[in-house]
Amino acid sequence: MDLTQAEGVADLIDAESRGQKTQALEQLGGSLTQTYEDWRHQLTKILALLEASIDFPDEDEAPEDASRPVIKMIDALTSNMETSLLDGRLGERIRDGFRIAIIGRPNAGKSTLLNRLAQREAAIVTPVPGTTRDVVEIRLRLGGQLVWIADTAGIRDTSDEIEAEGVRRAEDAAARADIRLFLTEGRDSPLALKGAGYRDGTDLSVVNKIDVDAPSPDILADCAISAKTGEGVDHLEALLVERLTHMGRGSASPIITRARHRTRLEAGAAHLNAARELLMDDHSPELAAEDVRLALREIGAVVGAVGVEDILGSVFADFCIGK
Amino acid sequence: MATLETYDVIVIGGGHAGCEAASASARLGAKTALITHKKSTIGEMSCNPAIGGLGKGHLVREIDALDGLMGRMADKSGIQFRMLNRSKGPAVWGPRAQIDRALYRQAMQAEILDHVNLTVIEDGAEDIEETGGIVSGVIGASGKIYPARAVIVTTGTFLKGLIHIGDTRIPAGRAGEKPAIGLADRLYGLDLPMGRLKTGTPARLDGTTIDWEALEMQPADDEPMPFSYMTDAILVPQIACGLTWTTPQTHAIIADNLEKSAVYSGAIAGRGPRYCPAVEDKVHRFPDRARHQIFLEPEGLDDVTVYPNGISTSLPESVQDAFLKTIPGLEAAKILQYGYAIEYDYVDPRALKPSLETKALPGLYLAGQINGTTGYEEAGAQGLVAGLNAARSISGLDPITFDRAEAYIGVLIDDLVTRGVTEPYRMFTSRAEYRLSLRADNADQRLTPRGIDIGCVGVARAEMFHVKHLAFLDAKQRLTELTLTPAKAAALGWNVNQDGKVRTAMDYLAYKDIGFEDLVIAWPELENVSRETSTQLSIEAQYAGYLARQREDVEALRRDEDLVLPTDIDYGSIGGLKMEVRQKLEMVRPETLGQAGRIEGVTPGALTALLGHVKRRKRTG
Repeated sequence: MDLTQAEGVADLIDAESRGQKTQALEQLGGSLTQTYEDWRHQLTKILALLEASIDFPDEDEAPEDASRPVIKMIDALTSNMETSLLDGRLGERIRDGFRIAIIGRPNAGKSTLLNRLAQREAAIVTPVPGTTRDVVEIRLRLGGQLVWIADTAGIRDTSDEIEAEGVRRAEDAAARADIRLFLTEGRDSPLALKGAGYRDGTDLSVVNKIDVDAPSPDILADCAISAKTGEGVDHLEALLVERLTHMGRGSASPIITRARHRTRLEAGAAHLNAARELLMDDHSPELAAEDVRLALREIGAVVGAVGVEDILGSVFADFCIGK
Repeated sequence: MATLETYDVIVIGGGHAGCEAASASARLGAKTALITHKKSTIGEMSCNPAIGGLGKGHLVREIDALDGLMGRMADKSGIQFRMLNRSKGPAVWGPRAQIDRALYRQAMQAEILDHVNLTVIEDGAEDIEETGGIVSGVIGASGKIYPARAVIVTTGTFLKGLIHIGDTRIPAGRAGEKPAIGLADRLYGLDLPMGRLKTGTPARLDGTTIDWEALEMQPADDEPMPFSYMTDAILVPQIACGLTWTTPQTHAIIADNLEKSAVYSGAIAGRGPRYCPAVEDKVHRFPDRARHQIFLEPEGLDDVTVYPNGISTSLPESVQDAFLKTIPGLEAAKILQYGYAIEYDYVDPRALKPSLETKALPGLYLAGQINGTTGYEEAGAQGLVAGLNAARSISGLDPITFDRAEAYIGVLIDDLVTRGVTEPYRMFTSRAEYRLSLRADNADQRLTPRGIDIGCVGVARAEMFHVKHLAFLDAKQRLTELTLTPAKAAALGWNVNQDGKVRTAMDYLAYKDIGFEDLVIAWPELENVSRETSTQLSIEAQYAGYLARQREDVEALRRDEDLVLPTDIDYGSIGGLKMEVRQKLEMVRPETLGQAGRIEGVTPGALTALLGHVKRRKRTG
């Protein structure tokens, strides 16, 4: 069992949602192992080729200049790694939970909606605009996924230092969120908020307080609710489930499930690109080898280290070296 | 039996490990003796007469930086000097020379027979004496007893040596030499862990019967670069080596007779080196290759013998005759001595301390091929370390070790005593994590100051080093003080980032297309910097970025090396260690936490458990 499988065990024990459980089981079964092993194998081959050209320059088996084949191998590998990095952080989101932020003007009813979704009094609700200062988060399961829903301070210009900080945090939470709920009151058009980076297809515009004001038919919103009475909240939940289901369905099972993997992978890809530049530039295979070694160390940190014996083993398996 | 005067250190064996060991011990002022069967075989090259190469050349430069012998001897006898990898970066340049076997032997014998503090005794070494669990002398085959306070055994492949040619087997150390049975029994009696290895050698050819006209020739470098910092110029005439290749007919003959090879008939149990396979291995394992390269290396200026490098074999004589005829240039070649494989026992070097003293018997040191290595350079490096440490032990001084960030010698010995060997161990540059700083060009900077401290470096070298080093430091200082704005650099035609950042001359030297001669244009006062110094500075500048990055790794390495582990740890009492890990720790008994971490299979978790145990012990103890 390698480190990723061990992580799979830990994740399985902690799993709350169906999505987490499925992912943890796959990881435990070695879904990550295979990909990383493959990368590690390719890196070993790349380094073996470079090392053979360095340590056995007199042999006609080992290429005197390994740059061209090595660049080709690096290109194949980095494009593979970079594709995996562009996975929209799906694996991490399934494991850590998707993030939903409720944003809107003060007193739009964001805290009431949060409490409604949480089915408890998680946030303090008063008629005083600007009651919520800090970000209040609840976690729940929706559509088979773990989600974090954040209630944020209402966004407005304010001279109150504490509230201003709250607004800053609200903007932060909104930026980090996978889905933003743009909440408005009946008379306000959500379109006014759409200026704040509304993303079609993922974000939702919601009109609240339909128990007070019937929404005017010309206001285009994804749904209309009363957080207070619960009317329309079922529909909102259904929309969220639809969005989450869509997001949780990646093209392939993700191979990055922790931030640790991503950091290592990004660093590894960066070292490979550096190695490539060195090889394109001039004859510095010893510097390129240094970068490949560092890339290998990054990948090795995810699935286990590669020692010099592995490299030499690969050299002697592929090249008939020997005087 | 006569008892003779007492020596501080006795070295058994006059090969490459033995010569370096004896000289190192004598240089430290210990009264040293070297026991060998025959003075005339001191410094003999038993295999291919070449010294250096990648990793190996680095070792020679390091031995030389510590005032050892090998580099200077090679400079007096090298007949084809080549700097390998010249097209690549200086960290992986590999100095190598084809050697005149007789000249090398002569040079080494002259050195050893006229060495201060060193006596050469012509006798067999029959046994080692011990008194109260400590080495006390050597018993000669003549019956003489030679009292000594430390003994270094450097006897190569003599332990149960067995030569194979086809199905013929001849017990031997080297062709024509008899193995020392008594000494072997003593070593077996110590219950040292042993393993079995094999290695091979090709037939030796009569050069006058080779058709050189038909061959591609590989000349020596135009400007031969000496191994030794003490050598000004190579005076030995330089020759070329021949190149040829096996043919499909060669492969067919070998494939047809594969089962007659001692390697394939099952007669050989020992493991051979992957980097030096027998020609039958090459043919068998790589059937798709149309040909394999052979270097035809003359063994000397006045010697007709040619070493065909690349076709070692243990096939029967008749098959060797047949396949050689199918190789271009060798159609009519006469064989002077047939190729053979040799199997031998080696001592698992994990039975040694990093000083190369055996853990089993204080005062007994092992160096060279007996520890599972191959190659003159690996042997010499061990001999040097064993010699220094044996001599120091007489004065009650702590052993000398070199760490992995300091020298290939350190990498070599740490690999041996920590990981053991599974094939004859040979140095490669890829074994050195800090390859970019362990260069052939800076061996003196890395090691000569330490050598001076240790006391193994003579006055002449020390003085030369100081002069050179002061010039280097002075020039480096100037290069870090001279500065230029990017705008002015651009005016000089230098292609640098126009970021307004003032850079030093050293920074500019790091640019690929700015050389030292360009710096001289900007700063004419640099004109008086010697070529040697400017070359050194250019190399340093070129690697500066990488070396800075490695510094962190080196610091981590040294932190772990500073955590000394007691040698009497009861590994069985440490909870959370897997059986396999515990056994390995018990076998190696690592001296530092760093060494423990390099043992195969020892995980960070195991290290944490080990560290916790040691800390608890300190508190309670």
